[in-house]
Amino acid sequence: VAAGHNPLSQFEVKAWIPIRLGDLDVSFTNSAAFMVLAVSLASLFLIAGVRRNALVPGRWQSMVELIYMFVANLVRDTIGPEGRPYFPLVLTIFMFVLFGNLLGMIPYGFTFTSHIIVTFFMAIMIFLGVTVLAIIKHRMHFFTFFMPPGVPMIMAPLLVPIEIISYLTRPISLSVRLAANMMAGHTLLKVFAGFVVLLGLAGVVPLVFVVLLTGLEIAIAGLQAFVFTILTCMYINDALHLH
Amino acid sequence: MGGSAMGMAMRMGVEIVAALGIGFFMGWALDEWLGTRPWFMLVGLVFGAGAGMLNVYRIASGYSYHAGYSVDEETGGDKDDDGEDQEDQKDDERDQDDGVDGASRPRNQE
Repeated sequence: VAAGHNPLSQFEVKAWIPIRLGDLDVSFTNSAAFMVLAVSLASLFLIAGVRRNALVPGRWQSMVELIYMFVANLVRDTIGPEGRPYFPLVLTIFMFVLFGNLLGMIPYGFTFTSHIIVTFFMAIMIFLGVTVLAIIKHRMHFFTFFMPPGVPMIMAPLLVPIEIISYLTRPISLSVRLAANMMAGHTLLKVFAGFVVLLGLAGVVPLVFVVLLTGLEIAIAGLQAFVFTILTCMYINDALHLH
Repeated sequence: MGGSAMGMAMRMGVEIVAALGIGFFMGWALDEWLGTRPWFMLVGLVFGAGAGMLNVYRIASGYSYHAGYSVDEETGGDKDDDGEDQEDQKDDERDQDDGVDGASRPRNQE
């Protein structure tokens, strides 16, 4: 593999417009650029799609309505009718992650969802928000979440720390799942793409594989956005109806 | 990535490692604070292992994404249409008086 064609070099964060605030590096990076792009494209897709607002939707409007209904059904099925106030949040998360994943499939693009810090920040915000929501909704009742009903008090010192740790793993497993999936898939793509060049004529075999893998990656991009979203819904559901 | 069995296996792995890591870190932080070097760390590791296995058990036994203990499993089984749902939000917030398992949602009584 020639220098500069490292399969991991696609994950490098490069400062496009270096900005320094005192000791703080707040440069506008390729990661930030793709986030801006994801937000603008998602907004454009949704807003321009329903601009005409025809009774009989065209292709674009159908796509928007399809996504809207998909997320709306997801929210209703996992949270129930009380979940309606959280629908905008869930739709935003879904669109952001979906566009982040899909933009990463563009050659020379950058997948910001493959960075654990990005997904972890989203996850920790969801986690904190959901915890605050649960405390507001249930006050002290919230803490019974860590003490399952019908358990003898003697077990409490053993069970409560375990339940608390189990609760605290949520943001980690949420963020690691998305980032690991995206990173693994994109690294695999690059590794096989490297084989194509190295093997010369026999490189047709990995080339076919790369083509198949690209399709799989696009499917995974959608699937992982869905998983991230459904987990968010589950957490909101847990916060609204403890146990 | 890939098939769902593989995804499941990866989830379980992440779940165990994350729980172990959190248990270890909490114990370590307590040790740093109280100056009791190895002890809380060790206890934290044991609790972390327990929590990790609990999470894996929950995933494997179909409790799926529920991290907390759950009494009723059907999350929103019936899909009632959008119309009649705004009002049962109020009585949902007021049910702190009844027992622990009373937190089950009252929205199924229609």
